[in-house]
Amino acid sequence: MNTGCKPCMDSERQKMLQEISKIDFVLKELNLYLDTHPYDQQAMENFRQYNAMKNKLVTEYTEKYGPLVLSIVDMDNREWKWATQDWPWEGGYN
Amino acid sequence: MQEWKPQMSYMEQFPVAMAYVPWQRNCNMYENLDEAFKTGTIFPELNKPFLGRRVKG
Repeated sequence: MNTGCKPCMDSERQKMLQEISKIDFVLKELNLYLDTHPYDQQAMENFRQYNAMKNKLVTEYTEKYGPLVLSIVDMDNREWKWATQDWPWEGGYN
Repeated sequence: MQEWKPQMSYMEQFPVAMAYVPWQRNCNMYENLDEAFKTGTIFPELNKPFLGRRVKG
């Protein structure tokens, strides 16, 4: 394990981040395809499906570990977690 | 000077010295997306690993 980072990322959190990046990859590929095939219903359905999956996963990640993207921030109004959680260079990995 | 003729007749409709990239034709995706992630594309049609030699088809 990399001993460098202070709060080392538990494997569950790392696994979730990996899942999210894989879905991001699929979305980007579909995005590029749709740019040249804007009327392909199948591709749009695929995009909708994976986009919904991504939002679900990012929301779950946010509840467990804090915000990953500004657009999905769990507003608990007591604390602006975006700033208080560890920064990426502190091993926060968001 | 003997005029050069392109082997494929349909090429004559295109001006010389212009590059053409035929677009992807369909949206078939790989089943296993983990594998696709490693491969670098979710589309079999675009999966063209460089093998260091000419590959037919």
